Amino acid sequence: MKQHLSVFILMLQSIRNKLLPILGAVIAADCIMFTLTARKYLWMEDIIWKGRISLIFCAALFVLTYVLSTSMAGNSRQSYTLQRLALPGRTVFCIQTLVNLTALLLLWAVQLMTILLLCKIYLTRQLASADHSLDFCEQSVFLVFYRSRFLRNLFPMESIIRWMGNLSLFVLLAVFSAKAACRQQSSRKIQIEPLLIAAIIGMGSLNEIEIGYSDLSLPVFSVAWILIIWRTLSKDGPYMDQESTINTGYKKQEDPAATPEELEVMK
Amino acid sequence: MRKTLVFTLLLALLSAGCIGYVAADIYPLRNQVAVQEMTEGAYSGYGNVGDVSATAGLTATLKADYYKAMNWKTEIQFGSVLPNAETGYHLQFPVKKTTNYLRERNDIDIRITVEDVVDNSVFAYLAEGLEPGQTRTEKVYLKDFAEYYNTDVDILFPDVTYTWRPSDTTVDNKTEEALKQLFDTNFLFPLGDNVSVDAHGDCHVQYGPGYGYGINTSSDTFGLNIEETFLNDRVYFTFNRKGESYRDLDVSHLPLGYGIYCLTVPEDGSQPELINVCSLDLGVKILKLTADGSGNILAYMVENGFFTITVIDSSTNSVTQCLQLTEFPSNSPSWATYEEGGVIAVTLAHKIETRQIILLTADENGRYELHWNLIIPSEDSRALTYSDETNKEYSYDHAPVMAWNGQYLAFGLSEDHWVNFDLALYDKNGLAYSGRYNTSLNIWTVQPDGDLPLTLEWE
Repeated sequence: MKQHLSVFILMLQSIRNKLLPILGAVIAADCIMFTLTARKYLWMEDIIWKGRISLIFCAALFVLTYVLSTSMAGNSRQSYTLQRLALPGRTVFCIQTLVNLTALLLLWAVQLMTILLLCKIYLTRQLASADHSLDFCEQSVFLVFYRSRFLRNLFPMESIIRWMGNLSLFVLLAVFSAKAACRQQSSRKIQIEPLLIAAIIGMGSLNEIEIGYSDLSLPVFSVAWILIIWRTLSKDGPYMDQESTINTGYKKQEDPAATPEELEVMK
Repeated sequence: MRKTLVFTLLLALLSAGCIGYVAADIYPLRNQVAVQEMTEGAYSGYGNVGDVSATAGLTATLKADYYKAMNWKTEIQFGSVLPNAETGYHLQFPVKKTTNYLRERNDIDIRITVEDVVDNSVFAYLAEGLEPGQTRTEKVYLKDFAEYYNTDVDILFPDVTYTWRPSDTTVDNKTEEALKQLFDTNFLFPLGDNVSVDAHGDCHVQYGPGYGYGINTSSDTFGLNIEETFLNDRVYFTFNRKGESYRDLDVSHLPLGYGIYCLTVPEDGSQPELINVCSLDLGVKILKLTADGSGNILAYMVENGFFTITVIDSSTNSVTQCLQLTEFPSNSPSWATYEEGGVIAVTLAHKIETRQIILLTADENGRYELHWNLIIPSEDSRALTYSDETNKEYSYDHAPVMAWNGQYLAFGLSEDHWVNFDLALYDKNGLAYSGRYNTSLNIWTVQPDGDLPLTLEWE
């Protein structure tokens, strides 16, 4: 169990220093664009649309996906430590997926929270203003979460199917990023699949596509794909999937200097 | 290492907490519709009049939606300065798409057409002597070949639809066949002298001679301007002799005469019946046909310049009362009616300085008698006209709703595109109370329900 926890923490360490700047950038960009656009437009959905808040989210999602997919690149110290721990491949894959999912959920939450706070501050100012107090009400924030396509897709309220669609896509993205990270152990080639899934989520959040959002096809599709990936993973092998093992074999890494924490894990 | 673990757990908790917070913060707002009585100054000219306590016991139900997806139904109980409002909310997602061809029930359409009034074979002569590839066209006056227009009819009862076209060679069932025969024999509208079609003959290279006729502008199909009301297995209907695309329709050939007809289509499948229950003068203008909820059919008409109501007892299909209410101005005033529980209210919004409210109540024998006839100065005519002062009249679809409690006749008038409304109470002395109510849904893109945004009801 201790080994599992250690692996989890090692993986987190590998993305921590990149995750926090990404989230900070999202918050900063949202604030700047919202404030600038609010000078030109009155309605919050217009501000969100014209302020390109959805594009900020999409860009952040892309960058984060890339970071997650390359977090265990072959020459990283964490990667080396993981190989020496020799945990079963599926176990490492699951832990990596959990770490990825945590990071993605964090981005989701930060985006939602930032926009909610911005809307609330904006509404407070408008209600206090004599010019537009009759154009807004306390419900305006609730309404904007439906009126804005981006927010409606990101936070679909009572639409359970859409929640399932969103969650299944995030899980699928976490899985693909984990798979890409596994492959990066043996190959430096950039994996395209997680970026494609990120693109689908991004387009979904922009409401450019509606595929699977009106029925259960998206969750079913995601689960099926995850099962396929699961089967391709080596059950007891090292930290990489069967395909990588077959194609590239186990490539021993050079032994970089281990950090004190990694040494503790290896003990 | 522990720091990292704690930090991660905190981040995970934070993300879940953020999503939960967003949900907890905005979702409860869905049904928190606030209703506010607008005071003088908020909207110039809409200050409240009278004592709000007169509204005690009155409930207004206001429906609004956002593109039919977010739906609110707010019940507003009056009686105090701050009305008590409760709102039901539901999200319809994805939005049910409606198509234009899905029509409302309880409707009857009769269209007059030259389609199939004459058999194509009579134009065979046009194809005679033609060489392959040649065509010949001739303007033909139908009066030479046929006497009457054909009718195509749609009757939409709540649960069953009957429909037929002149070109139909078969009908769906015996009832429809009987209905078609009833209409074919009783709705005979003579073809005018100038009704013509473009007949043509040709000789196809491969298929040989062909002939037929095409409808032109002088022989166009037109729908009758019908007023109808449905009562169980019956439909009472009539039509105006002047419509949007026709005028002074010749009704002299109708075997049953021109009038208000009752078509009974028994649910047991027995023979349908069509009778004329009330003959009408040729100059009459039908405004509305409706049931009063007490077994009567009410026909609102303009006859000899007067607004009249003809009461037809549906149990005997006989006219029991003809009530001449008031002079009907020639400048087509806006009007609205209310019928419920032995009460009839009529309001007329003249394009001049006054409005009028006429209230009729039924006596113990069920006969209507005049209760009020109020002339309301325009400055007191709240909710009798469209709220926008630049548009002083309302259309039939945007008329005030009413409710009567024995003392006050309440009027409610919602706006076209904004979720607020005017409320006014009138008694025998005139305006007793008026107020303008603004809801928190009165914001851009939230619209009042398209069919019936506002209803009023007394306890």
